[in-house]
Amino acid sequence: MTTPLVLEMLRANLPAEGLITDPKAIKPFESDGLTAFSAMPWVVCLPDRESQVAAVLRICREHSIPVVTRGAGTGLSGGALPVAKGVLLVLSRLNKIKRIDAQQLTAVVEPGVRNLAVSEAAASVGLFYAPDPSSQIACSIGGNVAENAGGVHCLKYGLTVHNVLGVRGYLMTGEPVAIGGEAFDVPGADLLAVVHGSEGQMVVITEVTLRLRQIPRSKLVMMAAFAVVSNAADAVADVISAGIIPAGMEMMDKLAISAAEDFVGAGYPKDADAILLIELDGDVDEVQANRTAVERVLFAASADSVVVAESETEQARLWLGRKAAFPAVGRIAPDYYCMDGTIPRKAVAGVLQRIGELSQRYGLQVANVFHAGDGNLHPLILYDANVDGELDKAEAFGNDILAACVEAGGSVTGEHGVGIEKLDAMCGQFGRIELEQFARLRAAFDPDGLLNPGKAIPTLTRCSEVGGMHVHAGELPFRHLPRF
Amino acid sequence: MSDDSAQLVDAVRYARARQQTLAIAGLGSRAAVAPIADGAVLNVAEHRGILRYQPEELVVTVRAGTPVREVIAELARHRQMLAFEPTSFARDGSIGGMIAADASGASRPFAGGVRDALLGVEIINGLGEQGRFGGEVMKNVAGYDVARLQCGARGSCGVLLSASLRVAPIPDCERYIRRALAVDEVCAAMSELRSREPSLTGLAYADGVLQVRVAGSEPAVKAASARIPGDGGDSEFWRQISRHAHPNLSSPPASGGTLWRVSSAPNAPLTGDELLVDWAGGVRWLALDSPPRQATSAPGGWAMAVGGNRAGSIRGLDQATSDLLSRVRLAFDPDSVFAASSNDARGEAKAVQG
Ligand SMILES: Cc1cc2nc3c(=O)[nH]c(=O)nc-3n(C[C@H](O)[C@H](O)[C@H](O)COP(=O)(O)OP(=O)(O)OC[C@H]3O[C@@H](n4cnc5c(N)ncnc54)[C@H](O)[C@@H]3O)c2cc1C
Repeated sequence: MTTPLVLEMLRANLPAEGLITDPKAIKPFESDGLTAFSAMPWVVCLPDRESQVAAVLRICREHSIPVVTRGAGTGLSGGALPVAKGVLLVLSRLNKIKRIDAQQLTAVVEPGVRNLAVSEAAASVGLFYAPDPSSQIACSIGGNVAENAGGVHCLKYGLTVHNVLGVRGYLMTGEPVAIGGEAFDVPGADLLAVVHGSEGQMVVITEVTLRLRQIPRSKLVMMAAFAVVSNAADAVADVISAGIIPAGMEMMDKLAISAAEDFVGAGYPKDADAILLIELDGDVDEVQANRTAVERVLFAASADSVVVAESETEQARLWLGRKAAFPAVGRIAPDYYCMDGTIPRKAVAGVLQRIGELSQRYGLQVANVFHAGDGNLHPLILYDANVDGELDKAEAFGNDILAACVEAGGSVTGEHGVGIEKLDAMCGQFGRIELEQFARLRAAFDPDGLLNPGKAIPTLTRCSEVGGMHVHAGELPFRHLPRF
Repeated sequence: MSDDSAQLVDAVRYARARQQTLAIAGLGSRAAVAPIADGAVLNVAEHRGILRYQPEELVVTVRAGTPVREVIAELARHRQMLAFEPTSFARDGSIGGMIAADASGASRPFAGGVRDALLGVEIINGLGEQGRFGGEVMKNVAGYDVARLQCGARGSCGVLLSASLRVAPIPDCERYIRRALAVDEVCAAMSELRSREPSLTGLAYADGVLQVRVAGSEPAVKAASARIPGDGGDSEFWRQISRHAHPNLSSPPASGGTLWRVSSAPNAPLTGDELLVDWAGGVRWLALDSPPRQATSAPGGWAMAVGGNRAGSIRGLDQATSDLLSRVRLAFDPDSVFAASSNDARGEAKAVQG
């Protein structure tokens, strides 16, 4: 219950200006990166110490007030969307890098530390933090753990879950938990893995021990241009089959190329149907040997041209277009809707073709920018929210894309999370047994379901309603498909 | 190749209905060091076979009873291997046992362990329900990570039926370097190598000798071996530790006491009593009369007895995490159908108090 008394208790446990109650000041927190959804929380709490986090949770638990944790609010699935009558717990002020340990190759950081700040701090000792979401200037490490964020370099170096050694935090009861730390493994069932991607529903994370890596001695970036999209897609599988795991392997299609080129002038060929950006890193001789091998594979796959950037400036320029691709697409349409399905590499060409057909059918343009090496698609559906019915059309288009991903043996989300956005799509990927198992697992952490309620895992009721909406006889959508 | 899943589901339902406990057994390769629990044995060993393997997707999906060496042999035919280094004992183990015991070998600090390569699983929970979590794609954040949770769970969170694992190309080239080193220089030497050599796949210390293994492409390995001081060694040391056959790892230890595996911060000082140091300093093997204390004091440090009458007992878990593990186990097995092997969550809770 949200009463004046509870408000006073919260105030007593937060720093000055750490409690926001004025609707005008709350307004900037009403959405995360998925701006199509918004909600006003009861209050916003901004602790600047760990003990305050525990206190807020204890008070809320006692009064059955739901809590949504927020890092930087860059999430793209509505994970940090506030709950009306709930507390929004913003951890951006817990932003200290506590320690960079060059001997142990670790960094101990608070959850509000920005992703890029870790690599910046570690650079002086020759180290970096590998997972690099495109949002890395802004997004927080706490949010990265909660979403199991990925990035351009995850092909070789893994996702967030592969680069975290330990987390500390609090359960909804205010009880502290420490999972992992400086050792390489944890005793018993892998709770450290389960916290990753749990979308703020299990533990409020207050400290993370990150694994750092040495900055490679040498790297180069290659850009290959293709006249046929499916040839570019096949080239991705061919590089991997040749036994080479590049640090990153990204693909952009024609619309994305031209949007990015117009925006930042990265030097992309606007007449190409697709480009691949491939980064190779390692020892000097190794990089040169791989370069020769990759060039051979690319030309064999009918690449029209291959450009190799050796200097840091040239490399940065080639990456700039990719990193600015989302805002670039944002310039050519009033709104865009970013999807995040994953598929086996061999299915890339087929699914891209299917997306093209759907684009025709819905009459909405789509730009494709994605982590090709991992089979993680990011189709950006262009629409105009001010045109009646276009948002609905874009959402229906998006759901069809996700269905195509599941049908190809993939998943509805590779790195952005389910949040509020993909609850319906989850009903197509999982059945009753899995959904009930998820609910019981969550209850082991938070029996009252007060942490970030209504996100990540759909209720069975919701799934049967979705089924009723889209198909006859209460059947779930794409029920005949293997549930992967 | 046989599909026993229907029988296994029936067996779990039957046991649950009669309030019996089941001890999940694979090939029994670890029985001597971490005994299988009491209870009627649920034999997964016959549920075997490689279900899907497409080398260019870098994923293999196998039934849990499949012998690990059978999978390794099939991958090797395509010049591939599991994306981590599994450990085993003298007898071959099953894929399910490998996951349940989190059997990750010497390359763990560099290439990752079982959990880092695991993409998806099919399990039977304690309610006798068959579910599928994760999948065969590299990236997947739909639903909680129930697949990776199974690593190290020793069957406490369900019976593993099948698993999808990431595979990797077999490196073109592997080399071994050894150098005599005093124990007080080991941590510094290991961390120095770890912070500048990208091709390491093993860093260990035993009997006064630092053992280094590098693997990768020909040019990378050549460059690394030119930089790393020491003499050429051979693969025998690494083969021995990956099969738990190194003489220093025998249980009970020749020097008496119980063999303990201590997982610690790699830089925590060595005492000089270590029988063997693996994982770039992150794992230390000790023969002790009483359970280790100080070694587990760093954040995340813990220890497990291997063999002997304490086999499987764990030190270093705090009460809150131990309680959480118990609740997680109950989320999968509300009626406690799966018997506790001595080192699952229930054993741990006892060990913390004891
Ligand atoms: C332009 C752009 C590009 C992007 N590119 C990528 C990309 O390449 N790869 C990728 O993976 N993502 C990408 N994202 C998505 C987003 O940046 C990531 O999901 C990021 O991890 C979110 O971090 P955040 O701090 O903004 O979290 P928020 O949006 O604040 O929160 C996300 C979720 O995490 C939870 N949470 C946050 N902090 C904590 C905590 N301390 N404890 C517990 N739970 C917490 C929240 O409750 C919520 O469920 C992109 C987003 C944008 C806008």
